[in-house]
Amino acid sequence: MSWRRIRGVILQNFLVMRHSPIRIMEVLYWPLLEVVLWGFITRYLLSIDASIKGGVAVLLGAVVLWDLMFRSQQELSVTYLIDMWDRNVINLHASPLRQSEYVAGGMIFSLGRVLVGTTVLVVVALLAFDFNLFNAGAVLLPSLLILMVMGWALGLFIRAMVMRFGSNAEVLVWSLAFGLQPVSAVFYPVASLPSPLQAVAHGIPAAHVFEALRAFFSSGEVLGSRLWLAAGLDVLYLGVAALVAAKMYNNVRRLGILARPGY
Amino acid sequence: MPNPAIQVENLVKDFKDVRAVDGISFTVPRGEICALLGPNGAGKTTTIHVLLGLSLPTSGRVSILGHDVSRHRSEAVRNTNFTASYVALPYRLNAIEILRIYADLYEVSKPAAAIQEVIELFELGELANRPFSRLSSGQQTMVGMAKALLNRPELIFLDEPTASLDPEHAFHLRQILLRIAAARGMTILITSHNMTDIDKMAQRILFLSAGRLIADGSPEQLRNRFQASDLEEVFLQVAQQSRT
Repeated sequence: MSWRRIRGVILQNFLVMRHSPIRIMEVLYWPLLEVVLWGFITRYLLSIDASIKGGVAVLLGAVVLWDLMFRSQQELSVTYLIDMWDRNVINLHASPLRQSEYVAGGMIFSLGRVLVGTTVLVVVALLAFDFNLFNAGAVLLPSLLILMVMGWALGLFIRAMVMRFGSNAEVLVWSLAFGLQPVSAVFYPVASLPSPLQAVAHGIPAAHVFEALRAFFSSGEVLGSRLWLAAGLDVLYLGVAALVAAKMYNNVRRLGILARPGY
Repeated sequence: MPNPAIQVENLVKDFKDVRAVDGISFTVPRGEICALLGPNGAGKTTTIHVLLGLSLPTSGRVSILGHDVSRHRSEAVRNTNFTASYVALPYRLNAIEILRIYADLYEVSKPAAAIQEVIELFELGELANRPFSRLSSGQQTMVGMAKALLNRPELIFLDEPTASLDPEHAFHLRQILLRIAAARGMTILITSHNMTDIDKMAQRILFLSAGRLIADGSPEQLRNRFQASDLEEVFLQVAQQSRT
């Protein structure tokens, strides 16, 4: 891997963002909208029953953390879409840039954007709704990392699908994560799902993270085993996504699709 | 003796039930300006895409600058570059920004000097800070050419480079390429439907038709072989033959 080429990918993504007011606005607009919406819902629920404060507070934390997962997935996928829309994919793939460097550059760039967005959300949640994400204590850092990596695994899978199926697969960028949300136990415990869906939830890293968060906020207990399991699932899914991406890269070169992306 | 710039052995490329390239073999020595000529669908662009590793060969072997492209693509293309009429660059960015990115991707040493060199070479000074999307197609071609010469490639692939250029700019571009090729010993593999490009630049022509290599020689040799007064006549004869 060449750091110089990874830097080139990061630079390109940064410059494209700098010239696109929409891309800059995206960092904050949707996350802020969500945190404000859920902030008011939280306030309303507390006005009905103040005794559920701990439980309701988790809602805001869940919004912030789910957004982090979704954004890291979306950023990794959108950077490839932009290259496709710009008809720049052939130039990139004709250069010495390796797939691993291309993806690594996208990941690092997405990390930067997600960190900025999440920081703002955390501050808004604290100042406007009196919710301090740092109250998640020892659970916070592993949760952030696990959700970030889960987002990258999904993002890498979606990039592979877009590379293979072109614009037909674009919809996955905005829909796949939300398809997983009902079984990710973001806003309710896994136990509240029907048993077949509980089995599905146990295979999703985010479900373990949100279970651990709820446990910590309600009793202060750190469910270390849950977090380790989630981390293991992350490694598995990231590995599978990398294999799928490598397979698709070879497929599109075999089929000649790489030379006419977005077909 | 150095490896040839390009070595193609029995290259076959199929797309489902269509054979786009049908068992061609050729070698391009370093420093040669070689043209791939042929009617639409002859397999010229497919051949260039296989040489760049954008497509994998169905069978056969392709190496550039001594590297097997299928196995070591990144190393193989390190000292090459490419531009084509059908590709674009990030449309929001200006030429300087685009060149900064590609200087990193090609690991150009002293990038600021290299960028300045190609900006001057293609007289992009006034246009260099304008977004790519606000350039005319001819100006975009020149930015693409600047990108293609940024890393001082030993081998350059040009797929219809003058398609959007008026005769004056096409002439200017040819002069630049000929000057650089002579000064640096740069190898050029070019496709074009502009016979003037080929006549003025190519030392050798590889004529493809229906994926097969049907003629290989200098422009003069091909004119003599087909008893034609110019390359356009050669082209028309070959195209007609390939249809019958």
